[in-house]
Order: sequence, then C-alpha cells, then structure tokens
Amino acid sequence: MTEPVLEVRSLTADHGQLRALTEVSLSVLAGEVYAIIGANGAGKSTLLRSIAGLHRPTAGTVHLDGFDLTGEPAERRVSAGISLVPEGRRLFPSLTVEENLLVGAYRARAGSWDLERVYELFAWMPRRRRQRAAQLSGGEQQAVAIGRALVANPRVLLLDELSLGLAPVVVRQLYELLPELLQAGLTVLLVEQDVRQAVRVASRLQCLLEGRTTLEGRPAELTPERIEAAYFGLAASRGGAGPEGSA
Amino acid sequence: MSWANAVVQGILLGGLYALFACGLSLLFGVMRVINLAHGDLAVLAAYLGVTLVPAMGLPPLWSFVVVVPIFMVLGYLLQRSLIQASIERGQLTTLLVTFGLSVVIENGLLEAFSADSHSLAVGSLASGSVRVMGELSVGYLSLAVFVVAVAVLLGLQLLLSRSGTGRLIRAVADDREMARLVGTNYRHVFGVAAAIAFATVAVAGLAFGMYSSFAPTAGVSRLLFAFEAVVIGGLGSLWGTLLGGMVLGVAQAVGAQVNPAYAVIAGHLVFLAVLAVRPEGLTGGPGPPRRIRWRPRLPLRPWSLPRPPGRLLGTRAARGRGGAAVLGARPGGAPARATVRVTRSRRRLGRLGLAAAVLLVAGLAYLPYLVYSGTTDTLVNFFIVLTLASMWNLLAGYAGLVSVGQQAFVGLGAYFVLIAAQRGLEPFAAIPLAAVACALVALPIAWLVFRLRGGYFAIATWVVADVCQLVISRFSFLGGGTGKSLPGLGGADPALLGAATYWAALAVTMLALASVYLLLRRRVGLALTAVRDDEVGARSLGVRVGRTQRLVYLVAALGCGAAGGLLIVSQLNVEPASAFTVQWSAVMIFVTVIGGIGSVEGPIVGTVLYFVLQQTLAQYGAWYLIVLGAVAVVVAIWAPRGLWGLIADRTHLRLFPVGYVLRSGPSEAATPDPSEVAAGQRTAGPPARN
Repeated sequence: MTEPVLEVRSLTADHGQLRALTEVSLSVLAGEVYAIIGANGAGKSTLLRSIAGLHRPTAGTVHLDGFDLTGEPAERRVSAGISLVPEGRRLFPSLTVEENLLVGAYRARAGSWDLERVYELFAWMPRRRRQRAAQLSGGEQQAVAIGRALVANPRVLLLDELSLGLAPVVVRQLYELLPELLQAGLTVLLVEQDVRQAVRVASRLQCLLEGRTTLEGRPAELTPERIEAAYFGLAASRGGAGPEGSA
Repeated sequence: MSWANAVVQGILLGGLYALFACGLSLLFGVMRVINLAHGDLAVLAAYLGVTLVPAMGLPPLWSFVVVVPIFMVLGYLLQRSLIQASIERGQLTTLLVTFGLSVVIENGLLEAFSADSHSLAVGSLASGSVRVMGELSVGYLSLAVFVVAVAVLLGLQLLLSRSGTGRLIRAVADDREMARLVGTNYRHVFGVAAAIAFATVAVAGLAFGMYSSFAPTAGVSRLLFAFEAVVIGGLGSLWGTLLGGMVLGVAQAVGAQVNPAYAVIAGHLVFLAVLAVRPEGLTGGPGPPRRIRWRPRLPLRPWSLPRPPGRLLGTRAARGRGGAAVLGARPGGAPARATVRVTRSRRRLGRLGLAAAVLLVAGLAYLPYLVYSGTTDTLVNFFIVLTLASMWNLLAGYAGLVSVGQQAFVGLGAYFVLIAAQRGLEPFAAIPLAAVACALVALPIAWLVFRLRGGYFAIATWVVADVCQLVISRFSFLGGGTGKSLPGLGGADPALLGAATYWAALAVTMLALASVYLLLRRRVGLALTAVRDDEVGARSLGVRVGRTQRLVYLVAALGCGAAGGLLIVSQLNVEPASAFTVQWSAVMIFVTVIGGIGSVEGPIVGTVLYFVLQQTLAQYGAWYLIVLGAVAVVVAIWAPRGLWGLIADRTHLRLFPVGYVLRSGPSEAATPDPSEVAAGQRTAGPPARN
C-alpha cells in the first residue's frame, strides 16, 4: 500500500485577490489518516474544498488513484470516490435523517456502505430516521453528515473540522469511529484546528500557515515544540521545519 | 341563494388560482426566482391550445397532452439558459430577466394574434351544469377545473415529499453547494423543477382558456392573482395556496355579485388587508416575512449629526471594509494604522462642468425657437421617459427596491392634474401639486408594500398600481374607464402651448436629474449604496434602512407623479388604461437596464437608445418593445452595468461623480496612494448583486 490514493500537487488557490494556498502538495496513502492542521485562515478548508471540487484552484492538480480530477466539477468527484463532510455539517435541514442519507447515496459507488450499515454504526439513528435533520443536536447532525458521506462509498473521506461547535465528549465519540472506518478500507483526510486531537488520530500530519506548508511528518516523530512553531509561524527562528520531517 | 352561488363559484375559481400559484411557489421555493413572466406563460399555453391543437386535428381536451410536454421542455431549456444565468447574477437580475420575458411574450402574442380575445371551446363541458340544491348549481367546467387543480396540488405534494426526484429538489432548495457534494448537478435539478413548474403553468393556462376568454394582455392579472393567492395563503405552503386561492376567488365572486366591476378590486382589497394585518398569510406562522424592527434608542442620531464641511465621512481604515482588507494586505509594512479618508470622487462637478451644464440647459430651453413643434413634442416624451427612468434607477439601482408599479404614480400624477384643472387651477401650476400629492399617497403605500421584499415587493407594487387604476376608473367625474380631456388649456395658442409644455418637461427632468444627483452625493447616497451591497451590514453600522428606502420611494413617487402631470399636459387627455399601463414600468426598467443601472448617466444613455429604437421600429407596432425587452434581458445578464458601464470602464468618464474613493489622510502625503484609490473605486463601483 505504498501508492498514494489521493495526491495533490503544487495546489495554488485564490479567494479573489487573496491567495489562500500557495503550492501545497500532499499525498495520502491508502488506509491512513492524514491530518491537516493550522490556525484560522491557514487555508485548510480551501484545500479540502479544492479537493472536493467546490473551489477552482488557480494552479496545481488533484489526482485520485492516478486519475487527474482537477477539471472535474464537484458533483462528478463523488462517483470518483471523494466525499466531503463539510464544516458545520450542512445537513439538508428540511429533509429527514433518512432522506439525508438517501440523497447521500444518490451517486453512490458500489461498496459495502449502505443505510443499514450506517444505522449499525450509529445505533440511535434508526429510531429517529423520520425526524427532520434540523431537530437533531449538533453531535447527532455530525453523525448524520458522516453517514451521508459514507453511503456514497468513497475512497477518500474528507472531514472538515469535525469538532467545530461540539462538546469534547461528543468529539471523542466521533473520533473513536475512525478505526472502524479505516478497517472498512477507507482513507481519511481530515482538517482539524484542535492539534492534540489531530496528533492523537493521525498517521501523518501536515501543518499549514498562511497557505503554505510549514511542517509535515508522522506525529510520533514531531515534538510539540516543532508543531507549535510551525502552527504559529515561529519556524524560521527555531530552524526546525525542514523537509527531513516527512519521512 | 345567489350569494351562496357566488361563494361556491368563488371557491371553485380559487382552485384555478391555486393552480396558477403553485408554479410560482415552486420556482420561488426551489431557486428563489420570482417569475414575473408566469402569467404571460400561462396565456402563451392557452394560445398554443387554441392554435396548435386544432391545427393538429385534435379535439380541444387533447391540448393538455400536447401543450404540457412542450411547456416542460420549454421550462427546462429556459431554466438551463436564461434563468440559470440570471440566478448566478443575483436576485435583481432574475427579476429583470423574467420581467423582460414577460413583456416579450405579451407583445409577441399581441403581434401574432392581435388584441382580440380567444377562447378554448370545450363544447358541452362549458355549458352543462349540475344542480346541487334549489337554485344552487355548479357548472361542469368549473367543477372539473377545481378537481384538476386539487389533483395537481396533490400530485405535486406527493412528488415533492415521496419521490426521489422530489427529495433531490428539496435537497437542492435547502443547500445547493452541499447537493453538489453528494453528486447532484443542481442546475439539472433546477431544470427539472422548472419543467414541473411550467407543466403546472400550462395546465393552469389551458384551464383558464377553457374557463373564460383571454387576450394577450391577460397575463398580468394571472400573475397578480397567483401572487395574491400565495401571499394570502402564506408563503411556502401548497395547501395554504389553495386556501389563499379560494379566499381570493370568493372575494372576487362576492365583489362581482355586488357589481361586476368590483370583482378584481375586491380581491385586491382582501390581499392588501391580509398584507396589512397578517403579512405572514393565513396559514403562515410568525415566520421571516416580518421585517426586523430594531431601533436603538441612542441620544445621537447618526444620520443627523452635524458634519464638518468639505468632507463626507472621516474614518479610520479599520472601519471601511474593502479598504481595510487592502491596507492590511499591503506588502512592505506600510503603517497598518494609516488614516484614510473616504471622500467623494476625485473630480467634483467642477466649475467647468457646471458651466457646461448651464449652457446645455440654456441651449435646450432655446430650442422651441429653432425647431418645429414636432421635434419638441418628441423631446417632451424623451424628457418624460428620462424622468421615469432616473426615478426607477434611484429606486432599483441605488435603493435595491425593484418596483414594477411606478405606473401608479404616473397615472395618479396625471389624474391629480386633471382634478386640479377641473377645480379651475392652471394645469402647469398643478404639476408640482400633483407630484407632491403623489408623494403623500406613496406614504401609506410604502407602509404596505415594504412588508414584502425582493420579487414579492415587485409584484405587490404592481397590485397597488392595478388598484389605483381600478379605483380611478370608478369615478365618473374623471371619465370612468374612457378617460377625460384636460380643461383649462383649450384657448391657448398651440405653438405657445407646445413650447410651454416643452419647458415644463425640461424643468421637471432637470430637477429630477439634479435631485437624484444631489441626493446621491449626500450621506443618503452612501447609505443607499451600503444598503444595496449589504443590508445587514449597513443596518449594524447604524444606517436607518427603512427610513432611507422610504425617502427614496417618496422621491420616486414625486418624480413619477410629475412625469404623469407632464403626460396629461402634453396629450391634453387621459384615460386609465394608458396612464396606468405597465408599459411605463417596462419602458423605465428597460431604459435603465440597457443604459446602465446604478449610474446617473445610465438612464440618459438608455433613453437616447430607446428613442432611436422607437423611431426606427415605429412602423412595426409593438416590435420595439419586444426588441427592447430582449436587449434588456441580454444586457442584464451579460453586461449588468449597461452601456454606460461599458463606456465608463473604457474611458473612466464620470459625468456625475457620486462614487466614493479612499484618500490618504493628513498623516500621510497628500498624493493618494494608487492602491487606495483603486480600492475605493472598487467599493464605490458596480453594485454587488446579491
């Protein structure tokens, strides 16, 4: 499993006149949890949105299993195998839980995930499947959002700020699902502001600062000081963020 | 018993109105598009039924089988092309585009079928009736239409709630970006929704064609009735729409029972009453339609603060949104706390400009001595159109109030002059009085129509204009529906009268342009631009949105009233149908859009073009309106700042500088930093159409 599933090469993206990403590259291997960390405005969400096809990059490419997806619109990337759980859940509020999942399965690839399996994963869900999504709590909504992405049977699952606005205990429960998803053959690319959470779950992580990569490597090989330096942009003075980190 | 009969008829008629309304609701619910061409499309369907189906040798009832699929294809294609393009430009554009379509369809039908009325003959179905009890009997046709309406609503309800397509439509309506993330091509789903909506329009139009006779101009009232049914019933509820349709139908039937001429106005009055008392509709909860009323009780009123002369708004960089971003991002470590000054455009209307303006006006004023009266008569019309367009530009281009009902004030202005002249007042002296009276009438109207926003506001103003026309037509001393000629100018020398009219028109137009210009250069102009670009943001900074918009609405009423006064003085008679015609709105909207909405110069350019077109196509009847509408649609989508926008972008020419630029303040050098000027022009530049 050395071939990268998802590969981003020198991606540059702009918001109007503002440069959000500058030549960011990353390659995610099959079956791993790859975490992007960074402060507010580092370009994390733009990176995920560019991979999902919602943001048209200025330069650079996105490859999935060796196929170039850069010019594909978002709606076609789902059947290619990319599913994004967006920041803030973004459930369809007037649809029920089950309808949200059904819409998620609209362009599903062949695979083992279906509504039944999502209902097994979240035991509370079948009982409340006829409720409108807007009536759920934040954590429940996040679960439905994950389920909605899973039923499309993605190769790569993109998780944007899973922990946003949720209680720590709920966040922990959600992250405890990750091993199960990986066992099912998924690859996960996640964005997280909570560095400790990212370090705990990721097999590799990459830190962005003002749209540039400042650090990448395996969590075990990175000291908190180096991560802190890369996160807050003190890297130059400490001289720690070399490419040797990405073993 | 006839009263009971009226109520039953009204309820059944309500089914037809609900049928009209559900397509309007669907388009708005799914893609936030108010389709102002809705009624005209229904009439188009009826015409297809009356021409195409007999041509194919099929009986009339087959028209459903033929026309509905045609309309579904039409709906899909129209959505994927024009409407989708306009959605991406913003709500103003969708209104302009659908209004343009409406005018094009209506006048196209007029050209193709003349103004005569047609009807879809359905034989025994139309004449037969079933007796319920006593004298109470129900026609087969109205019963059938009602059943069809309920069936269509039920089908629509089931389709949306149960089917996979319906699920996707609802998902796309909720969040179209998220819908893309689950693999939905939302444009296609929009197209499907439009196809369904157009299918209901076709059914409604055909049913209407069987129910009563129709003419090309019937589209407007179909749109208004559909809209009234939606608002009376409560936005966003199909069964509420049916209830609203029934209430409207009963109101009209009972009104007609009193006097056949009261049918429509009774419906309008019920609608206005609901709008006044219960703007969320009969079935709606206390939902979003209510306007936010939040008025902090501060000792200082931000908009009446005395301000230092010579500058409009001294402010820190951090306050201006666009400016702050640019300053913050500026490389090279320029002082982040640099003080900048928001000021009016670089060049004031200098002495040279003022002199040129005076010369131009003097030249124009001397014109009656030089040219034939035919030329000045044309110029009077030119000035009327220019005044109207400037007023509409102020409303829509600066205050974001897309009114399709300014003809109310044109008509009222004309009739107020008539009333004053009948009391013995000199007609020319009556024009300013009529204008002021129009502004006074606009005050309660504003209170009503400001309860709705965007497209619903547009149609509400249209309803008000219709009410004004119907009310005026009821007064016999004003000539009723046939109109009256203007007394008091009979003995005047025609040449002198023509010149006087011309001078009056010139004066009104120059006053209108000057007041628009001066209004925009005051704080109000800045406030308006802020509101147009971001209402919530403006509100949170202390801009009194309601008051500012009301002020503009009153000014626009004043200007349109004066133009109406000019109209009657130049034509020497007035009749309701032409004084209150929606063509006034069509003209002012098209002229402004083509010339350049959101710039003082735009209406001038547009009016010139309008007259060139009108003169060129004069012998082809309504074709100039069709061409104008089509051009306006194209311009609204592909050149949203109009011809003047194209000119200004290339030449940097500003005849009436009303924009604002950022200049470096006293702490820096006096020469403005180019990047700041650029930033200022961007913030003061074209409207962000959200």
